Amino acid sequence: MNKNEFLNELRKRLKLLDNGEIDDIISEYSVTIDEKIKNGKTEIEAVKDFGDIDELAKEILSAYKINPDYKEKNSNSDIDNIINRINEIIKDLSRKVVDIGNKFLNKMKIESNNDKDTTTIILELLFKVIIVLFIITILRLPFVIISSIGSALLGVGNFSFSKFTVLTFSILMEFIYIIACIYFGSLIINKFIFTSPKRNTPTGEPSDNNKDTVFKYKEDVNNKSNEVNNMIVAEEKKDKKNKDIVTIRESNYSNLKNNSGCSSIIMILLKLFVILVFIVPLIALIVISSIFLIFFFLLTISGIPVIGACIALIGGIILTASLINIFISIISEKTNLKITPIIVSIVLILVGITVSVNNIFKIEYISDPYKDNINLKSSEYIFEVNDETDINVGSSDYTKKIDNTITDNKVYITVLYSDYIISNVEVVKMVDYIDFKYSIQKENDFMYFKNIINKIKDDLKNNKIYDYDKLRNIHIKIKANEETLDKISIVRNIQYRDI
Amino acid sequence: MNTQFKKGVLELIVLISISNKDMYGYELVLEVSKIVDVNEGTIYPLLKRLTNEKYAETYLVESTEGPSRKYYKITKLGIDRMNELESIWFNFSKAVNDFIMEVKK
Repeated sequence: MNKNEFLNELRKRLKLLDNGEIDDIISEYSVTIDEKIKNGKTEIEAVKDFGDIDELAKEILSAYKINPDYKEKNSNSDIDNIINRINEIIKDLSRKVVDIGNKFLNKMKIESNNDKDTTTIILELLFKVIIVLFIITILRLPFVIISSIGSALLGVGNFSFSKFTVLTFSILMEFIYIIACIYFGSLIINKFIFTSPKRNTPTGEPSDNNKDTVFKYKEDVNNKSNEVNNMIVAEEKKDKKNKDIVTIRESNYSNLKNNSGCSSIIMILLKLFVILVFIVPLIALIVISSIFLIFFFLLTISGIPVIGACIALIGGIILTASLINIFISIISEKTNLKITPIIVSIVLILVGITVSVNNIFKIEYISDPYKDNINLKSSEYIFEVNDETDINVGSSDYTKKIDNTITDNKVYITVLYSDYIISNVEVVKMVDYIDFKYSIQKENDFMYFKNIINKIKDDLKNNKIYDYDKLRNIHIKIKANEETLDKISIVRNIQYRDI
Repeated sequence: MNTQFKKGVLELIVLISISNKDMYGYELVLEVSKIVDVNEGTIYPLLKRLTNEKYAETYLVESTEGPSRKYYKITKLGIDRMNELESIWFNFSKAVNDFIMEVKK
């Protein structure tokens, strides 16, 4: 093994550690190998002196109190490998972006040396503004996703919520969005914008953050029992060292800031992206599923067989939770994954679906609720009509029925409606037309919702389900003798019908 | 010499070495291998552990003849540790010596 091979192998085995620590260890070994080569050893010999690389890696890991066998135990799992790969891709990607960014910044620095400070500052500022805008755009994403999921779910029942509810909800969402923007924005501004000026003007004070590069030099002569002469020499040496160290520290400090500042920004951005695009919607999904689970559970208690949906929902929640776990482990760069919950959840979903399908086949779907005449209110009206009379049915369905026992110019109109949804049905006879007026109940959103749920519940108990959208319209039955029916004309006036 | 046995003493030797003067990694390897025949692979992890446990701290010094060297410097905590290990060692070796002498008589 030559030096590079050795260092690469060692790096692989130390993956568990923090990147900075790994770099630190690798550089130490690299320096030592160079030193040995200088003292007359060959590269191969120098590496050989370290002994078995596995043993060495174990020793190093145990210095961090890490169980060195941890990796080997888990390396069998495919998902771990996938996550490791994703991690590596993210790291590679960020490293590359950082390289490009550094080149860019270096270029700008060179320019700034040629008395172009203002342009550099403006360019940097622009760069930062673009990043901030980018973050704000990304932050928008989960809200779009959540609201589309939400509206899709709410759209299933075609329930119309009052404008107030919608407004409150959207205000709440905007509020969360703004808070998220402020939080992440400040995070990034702290990390990036306020640290970058230090890059150009490093301060003389040592910072405790950078353990290894920062020099903590304290005069501590007490512990030494040297002779006076030696002490003086040592003091001189120390002074010289001190100067060297300060300059090194400054350069290292600036480099460190430059690199880690940028790379941590990109890591934050990538992690933020994962959080926003995957984790936040998944959490929202869990919340929604839980609400549905409670709802279905209550339905089950009240006698409607939706236990299959409950099982499937539990499975879904477990699956979503394990997906969140996967994403979190990607972000925190840990791989503590368990495959059992995923399998359990998939089994639960399959069982739930099978049970539900079995139940669903029993349910009869009736596309026209007015044909199956249950729980509907009806009111009957009798009108005198002539040749001029139009019956304005609007967008409602109607049926004509000939009944020759009825006298001429008389029309029987029956209005069928579901009083869960429609109230205030009124049939008005004007000079030359008959008009229908009704309104959809929504004085109280909750009651309206509850009524519909109760209706669906009752229907499901009879293994029937209707196209409830049709119940938002009334159904008109027109009955007259043949002659009268020919006389009148039925028109569809697409007007807004609410009173 | 038994490796486990060596490891135990190694910490003491390293602490004593850096308490005398600040040293960089390879210098320490050379110093320690004067006393015990040791695989240098074990010294770096030990140094890592000592710094992690705050018995030693490090600083970089630029070398005219190559890359910058990381020097190890003992801390107050490290000195306490060294004294503790020292007394343990003296008691232990004295007990063992006494035992050997007694049996050999």
